[in-house]
Amino acid sequence: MSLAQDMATDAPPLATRVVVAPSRRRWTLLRRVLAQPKGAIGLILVVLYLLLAILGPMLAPQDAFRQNFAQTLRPPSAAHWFGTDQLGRDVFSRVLVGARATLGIGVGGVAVAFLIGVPLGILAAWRRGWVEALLMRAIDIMLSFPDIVFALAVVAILGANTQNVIIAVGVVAVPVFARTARAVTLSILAEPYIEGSAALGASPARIILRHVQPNIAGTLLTLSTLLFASTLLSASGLGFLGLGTQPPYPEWGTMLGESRSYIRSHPYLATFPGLFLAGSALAFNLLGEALRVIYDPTSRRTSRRAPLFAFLRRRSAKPPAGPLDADSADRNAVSVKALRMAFRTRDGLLDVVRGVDLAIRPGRTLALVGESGSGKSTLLRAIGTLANPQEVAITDGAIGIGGESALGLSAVALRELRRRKIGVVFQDAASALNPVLTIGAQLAEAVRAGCGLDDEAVRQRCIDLLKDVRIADPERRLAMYPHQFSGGMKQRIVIAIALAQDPQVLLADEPTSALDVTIQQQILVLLREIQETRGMAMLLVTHDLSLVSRFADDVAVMYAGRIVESGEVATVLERPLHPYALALRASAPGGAESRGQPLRSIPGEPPLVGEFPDGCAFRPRCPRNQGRPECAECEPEPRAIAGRQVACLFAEEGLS
Amino acid sequence: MNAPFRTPRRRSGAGIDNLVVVDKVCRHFGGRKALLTRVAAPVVRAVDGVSFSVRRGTCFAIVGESGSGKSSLARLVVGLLRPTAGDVTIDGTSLSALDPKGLRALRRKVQLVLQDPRASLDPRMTTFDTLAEALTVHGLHREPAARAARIDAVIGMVGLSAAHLARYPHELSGGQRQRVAIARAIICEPEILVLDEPVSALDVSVQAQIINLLAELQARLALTYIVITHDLALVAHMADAVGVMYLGRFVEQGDVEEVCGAPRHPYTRSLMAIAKPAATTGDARSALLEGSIPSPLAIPSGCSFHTRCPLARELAAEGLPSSDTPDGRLPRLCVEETPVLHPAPGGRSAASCHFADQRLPIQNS
Repeated sequence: MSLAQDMATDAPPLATRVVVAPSRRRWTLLRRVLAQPKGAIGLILVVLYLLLAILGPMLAPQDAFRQNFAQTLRPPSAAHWFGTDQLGRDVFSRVLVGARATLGIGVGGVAVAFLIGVPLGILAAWRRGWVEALLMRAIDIMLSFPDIVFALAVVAILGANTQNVIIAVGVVAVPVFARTARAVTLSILAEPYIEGSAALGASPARIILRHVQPNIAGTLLTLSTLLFASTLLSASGLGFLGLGTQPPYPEWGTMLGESRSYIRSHPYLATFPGLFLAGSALAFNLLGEALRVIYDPTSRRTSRRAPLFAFLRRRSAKPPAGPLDADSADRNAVSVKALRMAFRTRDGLLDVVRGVDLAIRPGRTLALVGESGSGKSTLLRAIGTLANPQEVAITDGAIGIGGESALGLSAVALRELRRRKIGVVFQDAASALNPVLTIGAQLAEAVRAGCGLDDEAVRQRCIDLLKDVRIADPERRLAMYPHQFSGGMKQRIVIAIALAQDPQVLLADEPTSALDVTIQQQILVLLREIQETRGMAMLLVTHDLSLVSRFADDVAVMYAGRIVESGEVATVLERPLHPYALALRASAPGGAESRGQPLRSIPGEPPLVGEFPDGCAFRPRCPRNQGRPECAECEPEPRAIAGRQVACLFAEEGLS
Repeated sequence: MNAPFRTPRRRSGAGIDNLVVVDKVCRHFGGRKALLTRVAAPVVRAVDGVSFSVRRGTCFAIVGESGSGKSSLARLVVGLLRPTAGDVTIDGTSLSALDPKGLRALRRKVQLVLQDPRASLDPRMTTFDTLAEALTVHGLHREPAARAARIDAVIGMVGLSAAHLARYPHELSGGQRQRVAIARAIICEPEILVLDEPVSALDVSVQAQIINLLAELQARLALTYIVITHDLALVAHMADAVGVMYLGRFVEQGDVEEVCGAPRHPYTRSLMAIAKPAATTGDARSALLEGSIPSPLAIPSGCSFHTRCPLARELAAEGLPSSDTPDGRLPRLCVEETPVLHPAPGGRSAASCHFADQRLPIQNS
C-alpha cells in the first residue's frame, strides 16, 4: 500500500477540529482569563487601578497638597468624601494622586525583581556546577534575612525616596524570582524537546529564547502578579516606617503610616488608603490566580467530574442489577453481558464501552487486546469494580464476579466483593507501592484486611506470598522499602499484594509494558504459573499481540469500545477473520521474513473516544469496506463463525 | 557540502564508505566531587569501550534493555555527549576535534529522532514553527518563499499535508506527531538519522506505518540509520548490522542475518527467543532469563552477564571448574575473566562469551 493512500484517511479525526488561526492566538489568553470569574474580576480591577494611576491627578477634585489648618481631621462629608488629614488636606484627592506612586512601586519593584532574578535563575539552571552553587547559596543567604529588614537596609544605604523604595522592594523579591526561574527552567531543560532542539544544532541562546523562555513565561507571569501584592505590602511597610515616599507626596503606604497616630480617634483616616491598598493587592492576586489556572497544564484537561446533582442522574442511568444467567454465572468467574459505559464530560456522556459480552472460566486466561481509546482499560476497571462513578457511568448491561452481580451494590458490599474475589495488577508497579512504607507493612495491610489474623500469622502469610512470587530471602525483604527493589521485583510485590486474599479473579492491566523484555517474560511466566496452580481466572489487558499466543487461552480483540473478534487463542490467531485483528497480526514486523518489503500497515489511526465513526467503527480504515453501504448502516453484531465470535458483516471473506 | 568544520581531519584507516566510525568509545558519569561535598559521586560506566562502524546507506541497530547504555551511546554518536575515552568519526571528521560551534554545524548531518513525539516537540510551537526552526538554525532557505516551499516538500514526504502546518503538537495524533518529528529531522538534508526507539510509544496499528515511512525515506534520501531499540523483531526487519548491548558493552555484534539468525551469545539467544512469535504457550520458559540487569554502578566481575547467564549455569552443572557465587555455582572463567569479542567462523559477527560456540541443549529442542 502506498504511503499516500496510507495517509488519506489519517487526518479526519483531528482535521474536523478548529484550527487555531495565528491571528486569534493573541486573544486566546485574554479570553481564557475572562472565562474565569476570578480572572474577569481581577482583570477589571487591575485595569481600573491602572486607569486610576494614569488619570488620578486629573480626577482629584481638590489640590492634594493644599493644607487647611481650619479643617483638620474632619470625618467624611460632602465636601471631603474621605474626610481630611491632620494637615487639613483632602484625603480623597490624596488617595487619587497617590495611586501613581503606589502602583509605580508595585509594578516597578516587581520589574526590578523580574529583570534581575529571572536571568540569574536561568543562568544557574543552564550552567549548573559551581555557577549554580554560588548563585543559589548567595540567594539562600539573602532569604535568611526578613524581607523588611533587608529593604530597610537598602533604603538606609541609598536614601529614602520613591525610586530607592522601588529598588529596595525589588531586590527583596529577587530570590523568589531567581529560585522559581531556576526550578522551572530545570524542569523544561529536562524535556525531550530541548534535547531534540540541541540535536538539531540549535545554539544555547536559541534554546533559551525559543524553547525555555516561552515555556516558563506563564509561571513567571503568574508569580509576578502574585508578588505584586507582597511588594506593595513591603513598600507600605517602608512607608509606615517613614522610609518610603517622602512627604508631602502621597502614597497609600505612607498615608497609612501617617495615620497611625490617629488610629483610635480618627479611624477613617487609615480606612480609605488601606481599602485601596488591599483592593489593589486583591486585584493582582485574582488575576495571578486566573493565570496560574491557565498555565497549569493539569487544569487544561476537560474536567470529567460529575456535574452537580449527577448522583440523581446516575441512579436513573444505572440499570437494575440484571439477573445473571444462572448456569453461566456458576461456571464463569467473570461474566460481562451487554455492558455499556460512558465517560462523564461537561458535554454529556461519551460512549467508551459499547455493548461488550465476555466470560472467563476459572483457570483460564483471557487476553484483551486493543489500542489506545479502545476502552480496554475502562472495561478492566469496571470488572474490578474500580471504575470511579464520578468519571465513568455504567449505562447498561451486567457484570458478574464469581456468580455475584457487581452492579448496584452498596459501597460496603462492593469493598467486600473486591476484597474477597478480585486482585488487580496495574502497569506501573513503581507508583502502585507507597514509597514511605516497607514492603512488609504494605503486604500485611493487604493480608489483614477483613480477617482477624494475629501478627505472627500475618507475617507468615506475607513470607509465603513473597515465596509464591519467587522473591528470594523473603524474611529480610519484608523490612525493605520499594526503592530498594528493581522494577521487575516491584511488580512481583504488587502481584503478591493482589494475591493476598486468594482472589478468584486476577485482573492485569498491561502488567509488563513498563518493564524490560527479559523481565516481561519472567513476570508473565510467573503470572501464568500462579494462575494455573490457584485455578484463578485471569484477565490480561495488553496491546502486544505477541504476548497473547504465549500467555493466554482465549483472546478478545477490542476496537472502539467493542469486541470485534474473540475466541480461543489458537483459533483466532491462526486465522483472524475480522479485518482489524487480521491487520494487527500482519502489521507486526516478522523479523527476517519481512525484510526488504514494506509492512502491511493499517491506514489511519485508532479513533478517539467520542469520535467513533457510525456504522462499523473500523470502516474508515478497513480494506474490506470499499464503499459498501452495509458497513455504514449499522454496527455489526458478533456472530459465531468458524469457532469464534466475529463482529464483521463480511467475516466469511477471511475464510477463503 | 559547505561544511564549516575547522579541521577536517581525515582518518587514513577509515574506508570512505564507513560513514560513522565509533572507536573504543567510553562514557563514564559521576566520579567528580561537587562543590562543598566530601564524597565523590560513584562512577557509572554507561558506555565502556564500544566500537562499530556503519556503512553509508545502511541501518545499524543497537539493541539493549534499560540501563544497558544504549541511549548514552546514541548521544555520543550525535555529539550531545562527549566521550570520556575513544572517538567518534562522522564522514571522516573526528567529533573530539570539533569545538561546540563546529559540533552544532555537524548536527546538520546527524539528526536524532526521539522515542516519544508527544514530549520531543515543543508544545508551544506549531508544526510550521518547528520545521522552520530547523532551517533557521542552520541558515538554510532564508527567503520566506523558499522556506515555505521546502517545508511543503518535507511535510509531503512524511505523509502529512499543509493542513497540519498550523497545528500544535496536542492537536496531532501520535502517529502524526512522530511524522512531524521525522520531518524536522530530515528537513536539513542530513546523512544520518539516529532513531531512539522510533515506534515504541505509538499504537500498534500505527507502528507499521512509521516503520514503512522510515524505510521509504531511507531509500529515497539515501539515509544512514542508527536505530536504538529493544525489539529484535524490528531489528531483523530493518537493520543490516546490529550490536547487542549489555551493561555498556557490545556482547555480540555483526551482520543482522548472523546475529539474529544464529545468535552465539546466550543473552542474544534469549532475546531472540522472546522476539520470535511462538506457536505454543510452552516454550517461553526455556528462554527465560533470571534476575534483572545489574546496576551499572556495580558491574559484575568477569563476564558481566554471568549473574544471569543460563549457559554458565549449565556448564557449571556439567562439571567445568566452578566456584560458588551469590548467584549460584558458576564456571570460574566466567566470574574471573572478562571475555573479548570472538569472531564467528565466517567472521561476519563476533560475540564476547568464553563459550560462544557451545549451545544450550534445551534451546536446540
